[in-house]
Amino acid sequence: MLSFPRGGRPRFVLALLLLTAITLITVDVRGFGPLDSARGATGTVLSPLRSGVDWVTSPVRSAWNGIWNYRDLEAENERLRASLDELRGEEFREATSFEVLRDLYTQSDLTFGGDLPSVLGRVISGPTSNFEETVTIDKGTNDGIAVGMPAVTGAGLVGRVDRVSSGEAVIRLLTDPQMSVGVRLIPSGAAGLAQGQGRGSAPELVVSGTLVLEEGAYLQTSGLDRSLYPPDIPVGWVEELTGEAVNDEGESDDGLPQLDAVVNQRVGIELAADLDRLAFVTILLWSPE
Amino acid sequence: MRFDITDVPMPVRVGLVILVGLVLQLSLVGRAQLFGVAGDVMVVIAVAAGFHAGPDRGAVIGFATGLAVDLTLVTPLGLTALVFAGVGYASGLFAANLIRAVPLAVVALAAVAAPTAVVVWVLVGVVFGQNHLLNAPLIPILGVTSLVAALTAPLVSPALRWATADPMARVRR
Repeated sequence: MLSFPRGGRPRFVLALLLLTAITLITVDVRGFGPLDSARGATGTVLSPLRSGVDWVTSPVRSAWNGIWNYRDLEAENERLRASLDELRGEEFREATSFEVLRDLYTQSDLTFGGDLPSVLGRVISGPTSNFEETVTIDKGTNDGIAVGMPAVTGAGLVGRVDRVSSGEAVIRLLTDPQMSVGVRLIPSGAAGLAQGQGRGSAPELVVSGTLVLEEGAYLQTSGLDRSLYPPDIPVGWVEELTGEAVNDEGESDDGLPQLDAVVNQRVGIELAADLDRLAFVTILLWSPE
Repeated sequence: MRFDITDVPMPVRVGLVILVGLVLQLSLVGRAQLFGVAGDVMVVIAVAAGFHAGPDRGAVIGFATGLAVDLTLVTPLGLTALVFAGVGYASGLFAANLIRAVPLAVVALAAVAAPTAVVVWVLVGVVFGQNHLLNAPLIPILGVTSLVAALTAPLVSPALRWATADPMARVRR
């Protein structure tokens, strides 16, 4: 039978550790600058070590993940993927005709117009855990990157800088459940919210229940006042119209009268950018004012 | 005077093991995915620490290991430290009372403790408002975590046995 130590010390130590951990969690959830600095410092310290180990273990990873000629195939895939992303972006831009965009600019008083400065980063690692949707790139504060800046590819929005150290930046992807992006539908111009649903699930578009949605309608960042993203970045398109009306708590509307219930509708969306195999990511050096 | 590696203070040895484990986790184990899911070698460090050093030190080493992991995650700092401290403590208890004499005990312990730690980690995370953790594909994560833990335990265990070795034991011999 399992017997627990009779002495109080081990359990005292455990209690002390648990209390410390709970304190750290509480402080971090409330936002405490020094803890973010500690994370940044960790990234800075680990960066060269990881680069070295990456170089050494690259053949092992390739052997694990691939088959013969894996490297050549991977390089070719990356080139093809970049080309495809560009084509998808062009397709998107053509679809959003000039007249529609001009109307939207007029109606929403958007200020975005010029080319934003940007930094191209190479993806050096995927998510650190199975429970987050992030990638890490090899550029950081030394290159002008700051927390909150949008990350894009040639096809569209990828995510947002979540954490940054001197030489690395962690980007939280659009598929992360904690990601929400204010979007505008083209051509209707209606506003909505694109929300990540986690690994393996398509993000969802949340719009007013009264809005008549069109399958294939394009989505781009709204750029409305206090938006976290500049306007007009392609996000994706409405994938299918099987969504159902939901109340503000996300429960199916059973048809019964509900006081103060905000009726929305949720539909799946397909992202413009391919997040599964990101090789390079561009960070727009833009922060919300 | 002959130099013995165990002359290096234990915290330094444990810190070295944690650092090497973390770099390998980030660069190798975390990127070699199975069914779209990565394994976790860090939890095995907590398990092996409890196994070799007992519940007291196991909890401390587990806490330090979890804290190192937390510094690389976007989830709240302290979440993994809290769970891994419990893992180290519980592993120490089980090793001391039940299974130390069983062959491959550390492998079995790691295979069970790793997925259990994941479940506890998710539940504690939800308590602290991280409801999105429930969206992850838990079944494959638990399976792969258990498998990777079992496979890496025979490698991690000797490292922790070395790191937690008591130099005084050699003197006493």
